[in-house]
Amino acid sequence: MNKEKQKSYSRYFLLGTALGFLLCTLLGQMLTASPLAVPSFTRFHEYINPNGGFYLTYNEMLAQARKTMDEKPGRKLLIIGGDSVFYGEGQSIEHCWTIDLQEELDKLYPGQYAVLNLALPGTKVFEAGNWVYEKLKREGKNVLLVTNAMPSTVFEPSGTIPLHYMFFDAVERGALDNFAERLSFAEKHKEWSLFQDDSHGESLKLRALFNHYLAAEELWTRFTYYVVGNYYHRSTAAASLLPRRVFKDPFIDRPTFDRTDVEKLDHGISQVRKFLAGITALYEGGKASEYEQFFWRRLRGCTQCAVPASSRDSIIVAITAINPLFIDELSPREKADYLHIKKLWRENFERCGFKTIELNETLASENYVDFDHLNPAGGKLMAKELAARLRDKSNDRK
Amino acid sequence: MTENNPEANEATNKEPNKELNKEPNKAAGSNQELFGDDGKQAQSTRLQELILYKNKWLSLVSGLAVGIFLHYLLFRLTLPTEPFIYAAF
Repeated sequence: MNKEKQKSYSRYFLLGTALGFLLCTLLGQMLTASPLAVPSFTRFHEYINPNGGFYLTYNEMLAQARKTMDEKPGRKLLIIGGDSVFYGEGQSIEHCWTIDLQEELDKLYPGQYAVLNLALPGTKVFEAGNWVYEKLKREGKNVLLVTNAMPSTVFEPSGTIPLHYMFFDAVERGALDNFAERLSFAEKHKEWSLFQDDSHGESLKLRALFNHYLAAEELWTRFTYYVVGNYYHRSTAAASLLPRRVFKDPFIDRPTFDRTDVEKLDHGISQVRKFLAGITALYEGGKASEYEQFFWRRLRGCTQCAVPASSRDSIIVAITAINPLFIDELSPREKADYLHIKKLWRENFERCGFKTIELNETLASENYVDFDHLNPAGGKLMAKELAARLRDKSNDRK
Repeated sequence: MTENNPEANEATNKEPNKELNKEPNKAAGSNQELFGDDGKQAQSTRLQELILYKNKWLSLVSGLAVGIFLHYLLFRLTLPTEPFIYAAF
């Protein structure tokens, strides 16, 4: 009798376990379409992006884009993709350059654009913002992507760390075009891929599969945001138990780069030299053109495989300039090499069917906080220039 | 009569001992019966009711908690073990 009772109550335990798991899954699934309730969203700041240990999901980004479209109906959604320069590093959230961009666009083309900053520090040219853009473009939404690529960025069609997981998440959910060249890039082009270990991609695919059907990331990232922090991260440190919603954007308006800071100046110059050497040192003789060299062949391969041809017409790749102070310190020969490589870099995107613009070419060193990031004044100028250039690009299309 | 009866003597000898044995129990705690044969069973039953398998609601709720924890574990295990460190220049 006792044994029977024991057996029956064990069943209740198992039932509870299954029920608990199922409830979590259902709740996660219900939340997939809802954006994080970030008050007056400007960007996914440090505490709600992977740099701060918050691995926001593809759906959370997509939901933010849909929310922006709903808030500003009838406007073209202008997604800002790319890296920390477009993210607005160097500017506080109050002075983020995309706020100025929205104002400039409203002045120039009233009621036409809704700006959404999906750039993140460490993100490459065709990552997060691009994947959101591609989904909306496929749905026939009125959307434009402006993303940046400095001539030193090495990227991969399926994305790189820290947002590599998001690509697989988007693919798993069928949000992206079934673009075979992109999906099989790492396998077909081992010599070009940054991910030589197959298990890296496999584990991310599995992670995406779990998230798709069990919605663990969808639920627990929101739980971390709304209810309570539940893991330690160096960015939140002793406050790791607090929900992420209580954290404010920690970025401040940084001062202009101090030109007497010789150490940083030397470091930046050596970065440019290393970058140049990384391309030209690998040059081999007997090539018909410079494009046949390894670096440029790889760049072209990555660019071709990153975005399906059908989605390229509404993408503008901006080549952002680095602090002229660092360029001025180069020898005339090095400077010529840098400008030449920058020209080839831009041509690469144009040859692959993307519209390109060069931004910040006229900015002075006083507009920079370091090697490539802008202070609030620099951000304002970039916003003004981009807004004006959008008109040019619109005219191009006509 | 009693002096010649060994059984009666044994009985009279045992009585005081029983009482003596009971005293410490009384002194140690109020629920003497808990420690007797019946008491042990009662204690065991109560404990069994308290822990999982004799209380169906507790079983269910505990299971629920474990299910939620497993779901959370799935999330935690997918997070990178090494944080990404973005080094701005």
